[in-house]
Amino acid sequence: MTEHEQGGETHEHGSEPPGFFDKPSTRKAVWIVLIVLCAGFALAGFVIDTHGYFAVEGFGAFYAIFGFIVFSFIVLAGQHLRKILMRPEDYYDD
Amino acid sequence: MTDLQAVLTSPGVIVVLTALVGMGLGPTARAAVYLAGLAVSALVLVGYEQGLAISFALVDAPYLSVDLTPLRVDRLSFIFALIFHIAAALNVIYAWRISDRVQDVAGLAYAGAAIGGALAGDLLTLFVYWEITAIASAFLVFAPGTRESFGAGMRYLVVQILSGLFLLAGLVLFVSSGRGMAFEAMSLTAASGELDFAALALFLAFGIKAAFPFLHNWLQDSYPKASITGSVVLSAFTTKLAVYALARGFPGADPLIYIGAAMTVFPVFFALIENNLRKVLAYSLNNQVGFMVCAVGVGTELAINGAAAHAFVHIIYKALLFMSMGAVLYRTGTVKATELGGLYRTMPATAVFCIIGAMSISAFPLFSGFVAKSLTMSALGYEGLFFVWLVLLFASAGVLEHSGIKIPYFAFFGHDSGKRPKEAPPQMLVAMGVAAALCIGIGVFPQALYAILPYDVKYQPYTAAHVVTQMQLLLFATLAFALLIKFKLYPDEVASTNLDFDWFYRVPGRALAGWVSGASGATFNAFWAIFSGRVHAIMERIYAVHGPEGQMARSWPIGFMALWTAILLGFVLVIAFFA
Repeated sequence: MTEHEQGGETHEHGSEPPGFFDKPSTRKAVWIVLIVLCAGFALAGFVIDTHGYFAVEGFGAFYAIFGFIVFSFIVLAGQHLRKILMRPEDYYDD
Repeated sequence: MTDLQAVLTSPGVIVVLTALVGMGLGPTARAAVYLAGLAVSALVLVGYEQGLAISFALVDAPYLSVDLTPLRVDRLSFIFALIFHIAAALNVIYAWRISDRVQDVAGLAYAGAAIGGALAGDLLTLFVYWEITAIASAFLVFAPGTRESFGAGMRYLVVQILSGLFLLAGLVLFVSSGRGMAFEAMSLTAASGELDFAALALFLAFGIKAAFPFLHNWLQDSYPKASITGSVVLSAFTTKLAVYALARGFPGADPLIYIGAAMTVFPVFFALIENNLRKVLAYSLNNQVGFMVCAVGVGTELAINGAAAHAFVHIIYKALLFMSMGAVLYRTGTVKATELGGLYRTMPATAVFCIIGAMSISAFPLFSGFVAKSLTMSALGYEGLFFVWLVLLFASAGVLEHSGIKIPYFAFFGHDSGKRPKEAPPQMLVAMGVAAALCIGIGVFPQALYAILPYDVKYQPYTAAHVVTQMQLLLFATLAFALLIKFKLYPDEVASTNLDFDWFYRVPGRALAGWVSGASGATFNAFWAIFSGRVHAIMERIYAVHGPEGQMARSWPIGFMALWTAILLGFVLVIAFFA
């Protein structure tokens, strides 16, 4: 790539203080926020009427469970595609 | 203003001509002229009355009459033409002083052709603009000038031209069957139930550009290899012009529901294992167009609104995501996940804009994707298409995986690459900032978008049930991601090439083409050898007889002549003696 213009430089690890998102306290806070939000919206699903177009939507946590399972499935199952599809980076001679 | 003047001052023509004017200008003047041209063109567009159509009789004979309609403005063409203006303007800002003359001119001509195509009322005009988009956009793929981008550009051009040929075939079949050239809704089957080949040819032409499954690889092949600014431009126009053409030509065509649903799912898996983040975005683009194609297939007013709204917001957030990855590429020289990570430290603004794009495409409430995708999902609900709805819900979680989380996480967070590049240059930040503001603005004020949709809508995306269920889907999927990372179950990125359908034409197809070319060469040589051998043999015989050494050219000794003369004279003497 001829058009890129490099700025800054590459640092070795440990030559600077940890970035904001690398601090254990930040990571902990992110976890807490995520869990609180998940719990809150899961509960909210049972408080409000979630009935939509299909019967399954009537169950308050349908979307929560569906999202969790589908995401895990995509990641856990999808990576096995590499066994069939993965080739060296310069596989195509072009 | 006469009709001809109106056509010559229509948005498509203005923008293409503006692009050509810029050829002779310096980078700053060019950007200024381009923005001014786009503004004028947008004003012309907004000034049109809805329902305007300008037609000329191309052939007006008793047995055949064919009308040309170079300009048609209705609510469907308006929204696409408008968003194409916005995308083109964003790109002019982003590319200012970063791309070069060729790319600037090609990029805007490409945008102008897309605008002209959206406003075309007949198939011939559509065909002309269709081909300009193909040729102009190819320059953006060729732009980096590497061997890799040259190969991808050639493959890209072949596929785009193929699409144009199908369009031309459909046009010819339409005219020859006496149906004229008007570009209106059509059916894949004739009234008798037979397949209508004219419509089928158009369907394939649009399908190639919309990147239907098995016709899709040109997209993932070329977009990641285009220049930094090129991939931003490319992401906006070709596939969305195809979505427009499908919405115009085939609303409610059942096969589109299933084609679209398939398109939403399979790229999810390819995006998961892909290391090149611009290629991840290309797969994501495929998946997003799937939602639109599916909505076109449903074909109700709500669904067509969903397709148009999705195209509108998608162009903005997809451009934003490509712009952020372009900024990363510009500053670090790579967009490979294995070589990136931790860039939020020194590129915080780019990281924030990227996250806004990611949240928009994932359809978080208050972001633009939410207010558009809700229309499509509701349209599926109204029609009771449960399994299609489930597939699209599955794909929605997939979008969160590859575009919502993977792109920002691996570029800006994740494993620290140690790279500390400078923040993106100001023009990139301005373009990303405007796009991000539009993403949030549309998300917060959806009625502004709904007002320009093809059909009048009374739709409220922000109901408690909508917001809560969508937040559940996204938050619990995010929780799954966090847990998979925590327990090291999320696959590491690997520097690799992952095979897709294009393998069939790039490896066995190419070998077959090589074999066919070798075999036809050998066959020719064999026939030539036989033919030239025969000719050679004949020439040898002629030479043997008539050549300098031949019977007919032998030199006769004088003694031999004298002997023969004596024999002849003796013979004459004998005859004379007896006579």
